[in-house]
Amino acid sequence: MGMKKILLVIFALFFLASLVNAKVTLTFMTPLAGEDGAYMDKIIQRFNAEHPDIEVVHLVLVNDLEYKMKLSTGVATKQAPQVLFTRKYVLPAFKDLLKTFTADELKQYGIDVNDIYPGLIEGLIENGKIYGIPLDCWIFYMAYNRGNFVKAGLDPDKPPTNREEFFAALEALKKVTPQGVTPYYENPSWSWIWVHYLWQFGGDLLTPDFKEPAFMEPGAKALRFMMEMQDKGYLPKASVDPGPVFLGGQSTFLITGIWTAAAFKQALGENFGAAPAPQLGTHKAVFGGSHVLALTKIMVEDPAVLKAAMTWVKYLWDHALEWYAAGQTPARISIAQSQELKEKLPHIYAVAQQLPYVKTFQMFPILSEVLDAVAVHLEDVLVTRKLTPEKAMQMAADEVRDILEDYWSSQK
Amino acid sequence: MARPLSKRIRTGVGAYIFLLPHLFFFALFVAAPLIYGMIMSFHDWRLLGEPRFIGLDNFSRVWNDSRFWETVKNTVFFSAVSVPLTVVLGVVLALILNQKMYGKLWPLVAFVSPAFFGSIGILFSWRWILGSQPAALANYYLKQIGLISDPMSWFKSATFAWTWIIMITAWWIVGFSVLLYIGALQRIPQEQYEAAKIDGAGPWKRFVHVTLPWIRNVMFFDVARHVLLAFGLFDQVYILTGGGPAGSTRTMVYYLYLVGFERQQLGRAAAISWYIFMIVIAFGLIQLALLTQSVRSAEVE
Repeated sequence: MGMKKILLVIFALFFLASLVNAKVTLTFMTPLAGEDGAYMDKIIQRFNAEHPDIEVVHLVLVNDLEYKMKLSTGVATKQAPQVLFTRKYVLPAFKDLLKTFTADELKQYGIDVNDIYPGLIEGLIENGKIYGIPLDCWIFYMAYNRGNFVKAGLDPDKPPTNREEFFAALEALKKVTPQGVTPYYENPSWSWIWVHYLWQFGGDLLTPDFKEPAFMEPGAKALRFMMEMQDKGYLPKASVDPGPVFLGGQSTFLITGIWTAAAFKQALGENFGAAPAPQLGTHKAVFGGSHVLALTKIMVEDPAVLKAAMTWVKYLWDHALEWYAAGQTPARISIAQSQELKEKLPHIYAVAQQLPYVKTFQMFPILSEVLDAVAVHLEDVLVTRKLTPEKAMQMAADEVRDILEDYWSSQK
Repeated sequence: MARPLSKRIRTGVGAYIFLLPHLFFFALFVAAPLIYGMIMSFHDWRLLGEPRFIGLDNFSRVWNDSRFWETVKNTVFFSAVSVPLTVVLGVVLALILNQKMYGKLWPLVAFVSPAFFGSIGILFSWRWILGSQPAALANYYLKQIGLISDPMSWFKSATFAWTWIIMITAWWIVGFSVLLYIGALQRIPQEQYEAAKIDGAGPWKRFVHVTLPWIRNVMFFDVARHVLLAFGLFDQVYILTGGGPAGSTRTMVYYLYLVGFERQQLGRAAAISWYIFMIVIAFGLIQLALLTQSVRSAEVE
């Protein structure tokens, strides 16, 4: 009997000790694969080492659809990740599931939303409540081959900044570009490059109330601009894979995402040049997106879990510079304009000067379907030339109206 | 003399008890999902939130959805090209492998075995082979032997994408057809070929007038099987192209998946599944009518 009491007391002590030393485990769900994922893993390992009472577990789901399914089913079964790191355009469909904060509440955690570029936090605030914190911006930039510039008699330290300079450089580069390749060798039917030009021609995909398509006229102008570049031999007329040709030094320009910078720099070495994307349209804009931090409301109801989750978010906020080395530009104004960024990541710093005029996708839940409906017709204009830009945009607009009508009718 | 009622009941109950395990799994995995799917199709049913009864709204929206009919067109196109290709390839391979030749076991295994492997292994292997990066298998070795100078993007256009989907599908599933046709070919009496030779029939005429009539019924079954598989095309699209480029390789089942899991409109997806069911049933009935007619004409002959 005495032995049983002693064992019971020992067991009770162990149990109490485990409660006192309870470690909070957070699931951190991201879409980061490859190099990006490896960078984030290192940050997570350092955080876990510095915070023995919190363990962050990295769950990677690269595919948007799988990410969204995991989130939905997780919330339905109360097994969702506590902290999300997701592409901004994924969030609108899930904003009701996310924990919201006021700006003052975030300030108490040490996060100042006024330090975030307005173009990035736009759409993440509803009625004064913030449901996502942008950590970075994956922005378009102009990658160029400095060696080809020299061969063509151009100054590699003066990349083009506007249409006139860009066209002049392209014309000069034609003589050093091999047959079958163009100096600006991009897949013309990549929908994001069309969106970039759409925004540079002052358009957007939908009206601000998301009830009507808004891309017809500026979208046609963007297409006519791309066709002009094709006809002048600057841009391919076929669907191509641009990466290998640029890495091989045969083409000179790419206007593409900053996430490519690390790989390009490694391949081209001294010949790699990075600059802000030239302004080729009528409006100052550059394509961008953001990875946003958010908390799943249902999974952070426990104050201890909420505290742990915000500790992790604050850590990422404070150590963002380490994350930007993976190939992102800062969402924070103070970092984007800092000397530290200029010294440590000069090419990121150069590209980050576009952030004041970055545009991101509108926060409409099924915007990807809208873009898909347009993308179907880009090839008909830019590759097969079966349709005129105006006809293609009209057909796309008709399909988008059907999508919007279907969406809004189900929102009753 | 009629058996007593109690004995009949005992025999019947015994039979149903033996059927019970199968009936249980049939109810769980076939009947219940069918009924549940039917109920869902009349609701605005999502993963989160309460389902809302909307009558036939899902069905009428699918009927008026141009993107759905685009996927029907893609699926029919795939069937129209891949089915004849696979059947012809199966017949040709069966004719070759039915010959007496040394070492024919190895090509037989090579052509037949893919049909017995799962889609994930097969299709991810092809995705690795046909990757667009320079280090992908096809690009690397084709460049090494000088056939290409730059890495190719093998799925860069709708034409390329469909070509590869069709060729990979034919290579993958032809094996079972080969076995069917070999079995059918081995039933053909050799005297028929000898008689045809004596009558002066060349190889082509012997194939048309002797071989084809004998394998006709198996061919009908094989065509019906392939068409049903073609209408269910999903794995190849999901793994190889993701429905692209620009939605040009989306099929009916892939569209159902997008609506159900991308948009999370489970009720609408259920309605799409019933449309697919009706399309497949319609074709199945045509096949059944033709097959019945063929079997009857064969019996008469």
